[in-house]
Formats: sequence, structure tokens, C-alpha cells
Amino acid sequence: MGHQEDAGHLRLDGRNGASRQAVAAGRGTGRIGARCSIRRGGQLRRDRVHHSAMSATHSRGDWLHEASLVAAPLLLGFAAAAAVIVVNGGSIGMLFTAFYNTVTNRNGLLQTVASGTALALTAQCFIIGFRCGVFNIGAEGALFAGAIAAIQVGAFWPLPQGIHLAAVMLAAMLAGAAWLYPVALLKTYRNVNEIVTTIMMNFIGRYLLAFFVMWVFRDTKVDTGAFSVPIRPTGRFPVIASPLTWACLLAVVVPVVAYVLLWHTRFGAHIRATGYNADAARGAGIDVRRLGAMVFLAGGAAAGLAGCVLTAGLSPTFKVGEDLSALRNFGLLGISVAMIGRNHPLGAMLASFFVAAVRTSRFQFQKMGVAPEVTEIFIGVVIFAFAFPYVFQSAATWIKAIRRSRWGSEEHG
Amino acid sequence: MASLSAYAKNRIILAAVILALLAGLDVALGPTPTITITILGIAAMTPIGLAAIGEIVNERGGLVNIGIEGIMVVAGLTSIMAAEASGSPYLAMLAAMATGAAIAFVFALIATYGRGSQIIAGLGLNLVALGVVALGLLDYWGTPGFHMLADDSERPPRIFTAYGPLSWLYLLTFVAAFLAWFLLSQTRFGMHVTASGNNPFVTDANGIDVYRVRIKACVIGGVLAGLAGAFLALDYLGGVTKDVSQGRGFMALACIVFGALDIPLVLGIAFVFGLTEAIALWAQNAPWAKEFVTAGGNSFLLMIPYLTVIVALALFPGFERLSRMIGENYWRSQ
Repeated sequence: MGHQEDAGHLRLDGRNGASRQAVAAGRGTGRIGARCSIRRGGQLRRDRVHHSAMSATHSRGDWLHEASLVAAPLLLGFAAAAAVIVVNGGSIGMLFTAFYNTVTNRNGLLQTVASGTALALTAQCFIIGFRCGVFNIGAEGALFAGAIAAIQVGAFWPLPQGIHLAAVMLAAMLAGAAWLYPVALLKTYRNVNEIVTTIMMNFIGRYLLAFFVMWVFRDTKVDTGAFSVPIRPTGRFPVIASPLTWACLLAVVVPVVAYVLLWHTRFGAHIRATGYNADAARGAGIDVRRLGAMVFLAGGAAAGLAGCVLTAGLSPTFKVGEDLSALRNFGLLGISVAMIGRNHPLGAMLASFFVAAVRTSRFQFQKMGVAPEVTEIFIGVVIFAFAFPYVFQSAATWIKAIRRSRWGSEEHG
Repeated sequence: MASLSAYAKNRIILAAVILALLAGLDVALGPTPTITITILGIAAMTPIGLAAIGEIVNERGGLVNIGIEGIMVVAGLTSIMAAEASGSPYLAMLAAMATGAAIAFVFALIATYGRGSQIIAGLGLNLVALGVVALGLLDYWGTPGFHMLADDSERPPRIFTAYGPLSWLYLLTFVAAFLAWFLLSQTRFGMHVTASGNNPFVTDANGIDVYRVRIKACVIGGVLAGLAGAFLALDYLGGVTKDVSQGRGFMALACIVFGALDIPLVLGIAFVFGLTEAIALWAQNAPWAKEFVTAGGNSFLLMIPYLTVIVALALFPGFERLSRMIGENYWRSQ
């Protein structure tokens, strides 16, 4: 049972973890904390209170447990991808060849690290929200908003060398935060489900960016399709080796900042407390409403930075086409990164490169004649499998029980 | 007014808003375009409304299926495949409903017996569905983006009037709404569903198998979502694309969040969304908008339905929007 399940859905109207009838019936229904289920045979279900206490003291057994919880969905994803490939007439070995080629190929490796940066950032957006009990799926919209701000400041404002890049990053972060602010308001004052609002904002953001690229930011010198004006050289991330830029440093800096924020500041402690049990947090004096709004701002800033990375760091062209192909899908993939990383910023940092490798391997699959969509199915199945760890746990327990009953020691008869 | 329930108040306000919208259109554009837009609006409302009504049944039972967007795209794909294989649009719709039922069944199993997180499972479902549709397009027909039905006879029959195409299917939403109302309020199964959603603990203790009831409710939701996808592919678009539903599944969820599982409210707001989509489509073809559209204003018009969702959610008075146990997992102890 990982941290992933522990964050219940945050409701700002005081109904977290306690439904009136159940309380009236004398049973608490808190998701975390005191979970008393209907006693059948006098057996209290696994109580999760101990797990929050354990979070401060990670023992080695915990790491193994967490790792095994990640392994099962990944294996299922591999199995699904292999099934798709085999059905399409390929061989399972193609799966491994494609991944191997992706990371050993110089261009593939550079592209992986470059994509991994943006993925790590969008993952932080989801993680910060999730740790507070909020399902923030708006990373894609905030990313687009950050891209709009980045192009505006990067391509159209002539600023001196040192300041320009900083200004671009700052503008993108502010735009991303401002983008998700309406979502935060709706959630705080109307208790509107943030999943719906963030997804709507994602669509609005996509069309807004397309509109800007095709009309406001249009590069009139190019007539082979609509592209935005390229970012000025002073506003770009310095290139290491195309397509890799120094933006990849952000893939390390931002997760570390998020980690420090969540585990070593009071603000972060409040966030995690709200995630575990919002009612208890409110009782402890934490302003849950303000907190819920601020995680949207923080997540939006992270995703906006991702948008900046994908425009001011989009070497070698540093411009966006009207189909936004370079920016698509980073939101949902960021969620998959977050889950594979067990909703931990540093775990997401590692997972982002894995998922980026999967994404980059599309080219390898295409070269081998396999449909590149197999990567989407892989990621989708992995996310899907993360939804039901209980099935894997009970399967493992069942296997263990069978083994014990077959090959158990004689004294147990 | 004080004695009216919150539901009644919201229904009246919504009805007034719809009438005001239609009146405004009439004044601005004249009666003929208004009727055209209204009919187009009902057509656009059908997939959203069907999925929303299915999800009402599902959420009354206590499960939240975010994956209805995924169900719609996969059902759209299956319906086109079935239409080409069998030549009958009705068999195609049945195939789509079966697909929706199957996917919803898997989801329901995971959410009940599998004790899984419904939101994450729904998200995963959406991703897998997109991959499956893209893969299906490539494998089955070899076209990587979309596939249009070549034969018009494979599409549901429609009559072409001066106001645009008309089809009996446009009434589907209302039929489904009536059936859902009947199921939920006049049958014993409907009572079980509502009980499972409101308080699964007591319901289960009283001997009603909450898991089974929830699975059945979820499957009904999946069937309607599959029908919505089939309508989208067969009637509305005439083909299947990689992203055939364009977020309509989520608009259906927005309808439910807005309408708090109340069928008239959900229908009304679905109609408003359909109307805005119709206006956007109609404006794209209007002569005075040509310049705006070709220069990229197209995207702006496409934004309108989604903006409407957010505005609607922001403006209307809030009240208990979802049943208390929504999204919270109910897992039986050993």
C-alpha cells in the first residue's frame, strides 16, 4: 500500500471521510486514519494509520515493497505491449530491441533526456496536487499557457542577454499558475470537481495556443505552414547538443525543490496532512481551502515551466507548429510519470526518463514496421494497472499461500 | 419560491436560460437559422446527453467512471467496423453498445472486487482507448488518422430538410432519459442502485449485494456511453478519427457535476452545450466569419463549448452536487 492510495479526494465542504449516515450509524468512514469497516467475523480491515506514522522512517523493506508495487504494473504494461506486437505479426524481441536502440542511439538518448525534462515538470504538477488530495490533471493546459507566455516574452521582447531567459522562465511560470487559478477558485468557492474543470481548461488551452500560433505569433516569413516566430537567441536555453539544452538541469532542480517543499517545510507538511485526512487537517487549524488553491498555483507554475522548456528549449528550431506536435501529450504522460514514481518528486525524476525513453522509442518502432501506438498502449496499461494494487497484492498472497500449503514444513501438517 | 427545492429552483433557472438563449438567437439571426441551430444543437447534444445519462445511472450506484471518454472512442471504432462488416447501422450500434458494456464491466470489476482507485483506472482507460483506436485504424484499414464510411447506406437513415439533416436518433437522448428515470425511480433495481450509492455500508448489511448492483449500474452506463460513441461515429461524423469524441465524455461528466445527478438538469445543460457547439459549427460556415476563420479564428470558435462548461459551472448556484459517497471507494471487509 503505497502513498498513492493514501491521498483521498479533497472536498472543501467538510465531507471528507465522513458521510453523515455512516457517522450517525456509529461507523467512521474515513479513508485514512480510523477506518472502521463493517465488522464481519470481528476482523477490522487493514488500518492505514500506521502507514502515515511510518512515512518518516523508511526502512529497507519499505523500498522493496514500493519497488514491487511499481514492478507489477510495468510488467503488465510490457505484457500488453508485447501482445500488441505479436498480434501485429512482430516478435516479442522487437520490444527490447526498440528500447535498447533508443537509449544506445546518440540522438535517441539526447531526445530522451530533453523530453524527460518536460515530463518531470508536468509530473511535479500532478504530484503536488495529489499529495494534497487534489486530482490536478490540468498540466497540459498550464503547459500551453506557459508556452504562450514563453513565446511572447521570448520571441517578441528584446531583453538583454542574462535577463531574457530568466524573464521567459518567470513569465511561463506565472502564466501557468494564473491559468489554473480559475480552477482553484471554482474548487474553493463552488466545490466543483477539479477533474472536469482541468480537462476543459486543457482543451481551451490547446485551442488558445493554436489560435496564437496561427494568428498572433505567426511567422510571416514562413509560408510552408503556420509556425510561431522563433524564440530570440537571447531567450533560448543554451544548447548542449541538439536537441538537448541546458533546460535539462530543471529536471533535477525542480523535483528537488518540490521534495524539499513537501518534506522539509511547514507548508509541505500541511499539504501532506491535508492529503492524508483533510478533516483532521482542518481540525488542526490548517486552512484547507487556501492550501487547495495554492497547490493549483504551484502545480501550474511547474507545468508552465514545462511549456517554457518545450518552446525556449525546443532546439534546433525553437518554434511551434500549428499542430502543436512538440507539446502534445505531456500532460497525461506526466501523470503516468508521477504514478510510476509513486507520487514522489524524486521518484518522478527517475521515472520521467523511463517514460521519455518509451515515448522516444516510437521512432524505433516505426523503423521496425510496428505501429508506434504500442507505446501509448503501454503507458495506458501501466496507469490502468496502477489503479488496483490490491489485485496484485492478493495475487501475491494467494501464490504464497499455495506455495506454503504445497511445500510447507511438515510440522504444520 | 422559498418552498421550492434546490433542484426545482435550478431547473427553472436553466429552463429560463435556454429560452433566453433561443430567443437571443432568434433576434440576432432570424427564425430559420435559429431552427437550424436548434436541430443541430439537439444532434450535438445526443452523444453528450447519452453518455451523461448513462453516467447518472452509474454514479447513482456510487462509481465514478471517468473512462467514458475512452469507451466512446472505442465504441465508435467498433461501430464503424461492424457497420462495414454487416452493412447495417443498427447492428453497428448494437456492437458499440456491447463494447461499452464490456469495457464498463472490466472497470466495474476493478472498482468493486479489485478495490481499485476509480479515478486512476478511468484515466488509464482513456489512454489505452486512444492507443487502441489509433492502433485499430492502422491495423484494420491502414489509414493512420481517420476512416470515413464510404457507403452511405451503412449510416443510420436521415432525412434532409431545409433546416439540415434530421434523424430519429436525435430523440435517443430523451428516450434514454425516460428509461433511466423509470429504471431509477420505479423499479426495485433502481432503488437498490440509489441505496448502494448513498450508503453502501447499510445497504450491504441489509443483504443487497452492493458490488453486484454497482457492476450492473456501471454496465448500463457503459452501454449508453457506447451508444453515444456509435452515434458520434455513424451519424454525426460518418467515420472514426483518432480523437472522435473530442472531450465529449468529459463534457458529459461536467453535465453531471452541474446537474447533481438530476435528469432534467443534466438534459438541459447537455442541450446548452450542444447548442454552443452548434453555434460554433454554424459560425464557421457563416459568410461573415470567413476571414476570421481562415486566419485561425477557427480555434477560437472551437473553444466555445468548453468555455461554456466552465462558465456554467461557475455561475449556477452550488448545492450538493454529487452523492456523498461519490468517488470514495467502498470495500467490503473480509
